[in-house]
Amino acid sequence: MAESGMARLQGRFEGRFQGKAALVTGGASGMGAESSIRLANEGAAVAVVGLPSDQRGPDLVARINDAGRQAIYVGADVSREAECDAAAQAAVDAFGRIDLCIAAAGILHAQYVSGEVSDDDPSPGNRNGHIINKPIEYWEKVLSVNLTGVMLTNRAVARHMMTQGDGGAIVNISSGAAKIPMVGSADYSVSKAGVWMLTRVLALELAPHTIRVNTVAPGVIDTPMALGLSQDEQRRAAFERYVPLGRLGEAGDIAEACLYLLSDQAGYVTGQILHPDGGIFTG
Amino acid sequence: MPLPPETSLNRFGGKVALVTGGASGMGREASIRLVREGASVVVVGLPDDERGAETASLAEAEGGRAVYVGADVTKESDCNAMAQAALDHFGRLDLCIAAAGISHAGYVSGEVTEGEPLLGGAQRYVIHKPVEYWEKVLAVNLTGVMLTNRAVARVMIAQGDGGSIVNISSGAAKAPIRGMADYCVSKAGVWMMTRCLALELAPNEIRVNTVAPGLIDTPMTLAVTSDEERRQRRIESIPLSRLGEPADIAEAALFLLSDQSSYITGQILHPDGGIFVGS
Repeated sequence: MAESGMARLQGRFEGRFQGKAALVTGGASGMGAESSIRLANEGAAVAVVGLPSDQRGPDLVARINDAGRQAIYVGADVSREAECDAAAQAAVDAFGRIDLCIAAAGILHAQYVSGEVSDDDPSPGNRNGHIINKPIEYWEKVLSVNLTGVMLTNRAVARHMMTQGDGGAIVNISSGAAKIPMVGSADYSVSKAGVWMLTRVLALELAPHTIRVNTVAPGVIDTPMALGLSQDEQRRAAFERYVPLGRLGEAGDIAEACLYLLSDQAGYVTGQILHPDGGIFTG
Repeated sequence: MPLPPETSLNRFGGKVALVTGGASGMGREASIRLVREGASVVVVGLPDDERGAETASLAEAEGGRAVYVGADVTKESDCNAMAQAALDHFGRLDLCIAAAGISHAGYVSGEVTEGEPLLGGAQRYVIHKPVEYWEKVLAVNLTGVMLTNRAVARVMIAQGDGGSIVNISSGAAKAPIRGMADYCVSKAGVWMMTRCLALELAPNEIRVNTVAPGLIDTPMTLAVTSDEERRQRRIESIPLSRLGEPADIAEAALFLLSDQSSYITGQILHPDGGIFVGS
């Protein structure tokens, strides 16, 4: 397994993103935070975007800065266009440009609060989560963050990239749920399927500008979003037996997939989906 | 247009890799980059192909070790012997890229062959194609990958500390091409075999993935790329507006071989410039 990002921050090496500026939504925790650390470690200046009230964001930025790397925290609700535009502008104000973007902000269900094991865990069998029962406000909330939020983030950064005129790379975090329907989680699954299709359309629309757009679709990863599973020892063990590679994913697994797709190593890859999922959907 | 840079990562120190199709194209480029990042490499090519030894010396110029081993991947004994050669030379085997392949039965690497399969000649359609042609393509592209995979996997299982395999498929695994049923079917087979093997080998922590390139500037695509008008026409159909380079494929394969992808198995990655995104 890859060593943790913070450990790698100590041992410097010439990275893939020297001179680049990145914007990462969902950056206060989980895979967004891990990606921010690793991007900074490899030379990028990072605008870490999270909810305005989330203290984990400024804490993370302080740790990155303490390691001698460039980062700022920008509070934004990605479901609002003005806030996405302001976040992109804040990155440009701070770093002079935007080259890279990871859109990792997302919620598991309408009541989701990052870092909490919420009551409305939409596991199979919770019939309140079925479409015929689900309040439309729940459906709209999930779509507005997970899908519209990604679209607004993507176009806010893409406008700067197009103006700069020297390309760029965007990675959107989807989910295995983009292809596999989950009972009780129609809002989540549909939003993630939408991210995958949005990625493909944007890949075609932005290719003439040499802006690449790809999706990383994780399996179950040990982040705040999976707390309901990972903190229940019995459920966790049962799940791990079900994953061909025999473990939950780590945030670093997702971060490295994102960094590959953002790097010039993936210069001929656009409109694609990559599944760091331990092989869970292979069968 | 930016190409993959010479990476500053060193992801494969102490590892041993075997690369089939190593005499030219993406197999050669991957061999060189593996050595650059610390691996010792067994470069596999056809026994009479002098370019194989050339790849090995190009790779060694990166400051590491590489040997050339001649093998016909359609023969099980040859595949087993090349895996054994890795043990004999370097003492172990951790990584494999199965890149040996042909575009059609008459294919000879490095030549613009007369059996050029993209002109749509009805004689290449399934109802006319000689069964020997079909069998030849399947033997190299599909059975050859299977034999390569299990030869290296047996060594990895015996070592007991995991491994990673990348099979080169093609966009043709998902997109049918008239006149190339043998090729398309063989590549679709590689993709399915990759998934089956990923499940079978996961308990041994051996990951198996596929890289499915688009149109890459290698000896296999000479028939298209050496004709300026056809080349331009094809480039116009690619969203990123260029042919792929062997380095594009090599870097995809290296990512999937490295610990950076340690939670990825049974997957397909398309470095294709977006050519199939709209289809």
